[in-house]
Amino acid sequence: MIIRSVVARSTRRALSRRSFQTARRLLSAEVDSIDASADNSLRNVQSIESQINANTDQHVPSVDPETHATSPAAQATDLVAEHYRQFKQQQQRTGHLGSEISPHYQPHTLLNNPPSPADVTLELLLASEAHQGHATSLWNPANARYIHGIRQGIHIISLEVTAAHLRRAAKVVQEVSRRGGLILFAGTRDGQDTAVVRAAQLAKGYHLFERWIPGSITNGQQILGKCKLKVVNEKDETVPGFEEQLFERPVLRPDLVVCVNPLENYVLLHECALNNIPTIGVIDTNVNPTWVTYPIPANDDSLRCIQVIAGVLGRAGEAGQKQRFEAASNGQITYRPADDLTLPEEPEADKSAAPTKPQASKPVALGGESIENADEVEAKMDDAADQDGRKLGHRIKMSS
Amino acid sequence: MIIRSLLRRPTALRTLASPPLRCSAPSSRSIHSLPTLNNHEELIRNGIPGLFSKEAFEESWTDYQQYMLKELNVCSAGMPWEYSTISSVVIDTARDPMKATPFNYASMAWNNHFFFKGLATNPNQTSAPSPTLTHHLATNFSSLPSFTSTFLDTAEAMFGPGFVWLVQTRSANSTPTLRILPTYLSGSPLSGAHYRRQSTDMSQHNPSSISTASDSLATPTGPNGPNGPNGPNSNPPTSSTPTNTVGAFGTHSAAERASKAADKKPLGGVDVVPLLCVNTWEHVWLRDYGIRGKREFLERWWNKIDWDVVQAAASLPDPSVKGQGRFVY
Repeated sequence: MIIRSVVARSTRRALSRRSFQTARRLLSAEVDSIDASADNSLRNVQSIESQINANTDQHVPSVDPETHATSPAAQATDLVAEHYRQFKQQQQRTGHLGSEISPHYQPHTLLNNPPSPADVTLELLLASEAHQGHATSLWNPANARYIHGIRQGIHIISLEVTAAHLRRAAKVVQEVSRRGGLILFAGTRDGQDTAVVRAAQLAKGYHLFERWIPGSITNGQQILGKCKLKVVNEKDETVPGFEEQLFERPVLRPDLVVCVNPLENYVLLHECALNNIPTIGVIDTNVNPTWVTYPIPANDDSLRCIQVIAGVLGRAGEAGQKQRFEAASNGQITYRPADDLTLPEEPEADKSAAPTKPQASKPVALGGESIENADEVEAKMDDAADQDGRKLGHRIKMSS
Repeated sequence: MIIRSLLRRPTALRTLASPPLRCSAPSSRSIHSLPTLNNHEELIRNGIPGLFSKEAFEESWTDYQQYMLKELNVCSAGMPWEYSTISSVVIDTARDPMKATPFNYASMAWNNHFFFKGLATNPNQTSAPSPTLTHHLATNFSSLPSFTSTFLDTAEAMFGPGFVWLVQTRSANSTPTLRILPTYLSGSPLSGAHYRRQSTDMSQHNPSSISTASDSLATPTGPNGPNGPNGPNSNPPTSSTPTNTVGAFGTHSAAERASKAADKKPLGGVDVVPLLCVNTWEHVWLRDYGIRGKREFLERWWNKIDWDVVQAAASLPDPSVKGQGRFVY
């Protein structure tokens, strides 16, 4: 009888979402009946509210289903959202009435929407104060080829030279990123952090804006040995199952380092040079240009100039990544995959397969000339690395 | 010689409230420039047939707008609002009397552009209010002809230059309402610039003018006569009839409730939405219609309103569809 009455009560409701819980109801009928009656009254209120809202223009405050009260907080949030939408519509219609504003420098656009290598013009570099060097007495004579002249006691960097070197560096960044290389953007002065982080985001690389720990490359196993490694496929998706094999792998190193203040990062650049890692650097008139592989003669003291250069290199990296992903979606891999990993298959299948077969977690690399060149370069670098006593783990993405 | 050179040096202190110097800024580019209207080439050639001749259009749009923007550029040089949009300048400078000059120029530029944007410049198309708009106008003003006459009579009765607006606001129970708002001189209808709305003629609507009008029949007589103890104009302008101030102060008084309601104004200044305006400054209608031609100008302008622009600016619920009171997004 109790069972029957409870079931009848539950079916009489308009929205009977508890009908499947009738079994549970049998156990605690009394408590559930109070709950059910409260729910019923709430649903009555909500149905009345929806009827009023449907038939009239007046807005009725909604009932909070948990506390059964009209919560001013929820209404306030709804109102704020509505007002914001109306504000945005009004701004779109009448916000720009009255005049047309001529294009001008807006600092946030250098970070939100950085220029690409195609947007590099002498006017942009001049406006970003890239031409301003240091006092003539502080110069490094090796930079003589980059200097246009002297004005008001400082050396003026030739902007055509700056533009040419910047385009070359952008091409290097684009190609390294197209081939799946690890790029590190380093800038340790005050205010350079946002530019460096933004460039790394665009190029899907890595950033550094605090002090470089000396030995992170030459003594990398000690300093960065605890960092986690992961295996990714050509679409940058993590492939599980390689955890045991990654335990023994050596720590990763960057394939390219972009440093926007080389004067303070001598140690980083020296470690890169010792380990044959190419570097790009912003070379002011007092900086030694031989510290980096690809100098960009420009003003490293101007944040606007650094934001332009880091933005351009970030955009170049973004273009390279896009090319890599497009090739991957067509089945082409732009790099040589790691050949000393075995697939995490079942033990009996593993024993039956040939032991020296290279792992097929990534599809067989296609594409002609570029891969062959990559193989040659890879072979040379492996020779160099073997002399060093350690293998370079190129193709495995390090997770930070 | 030293005295002469000191006099020649420009003064360092120049208040913003005084008119700016008539000096051309040395080789600086102007931030604000004349905006383009729809069919602007045709407007420059022919004016707006039926409303403005070619010369009148050039004077009241091209010349006047450029003049306002040029003066605004001079006022804004080096100021925090140098690169802001005109509406931002209006709202940011409305509150400070020291920034009255840039407010005036920016507000006139905004209002003038709003006026010309709301004109139907295509002679082949006739514009009429949509059914939704007609319904709401009839609801708020008892009928469409009475709305027309109220609007035009308000504009005609304004003594002196200004603008008259049709604005959409919200009543106490959140239903959208339409209202007519006059703004004298360079007053702005924007909610954020309410300090300079200038919706009343201050020469007639001030405390002394109202009280002296009511006191003209009951002149105070005392030992000093109508004048105060310190001679004429020293009697404070108070009414002689006693006023009951019960309930005028305290947390539940009308003043407190009004200020609390003001605090609950919607964010972003969306409580006032300008839909339509007419520019009643004399330079707009003097050339074509003459010194007595204000009414004729207003009636001709009424036929040249682009009601599609009004409909797009308004967010009025469709009366034929029920249940639009709830905002769903």
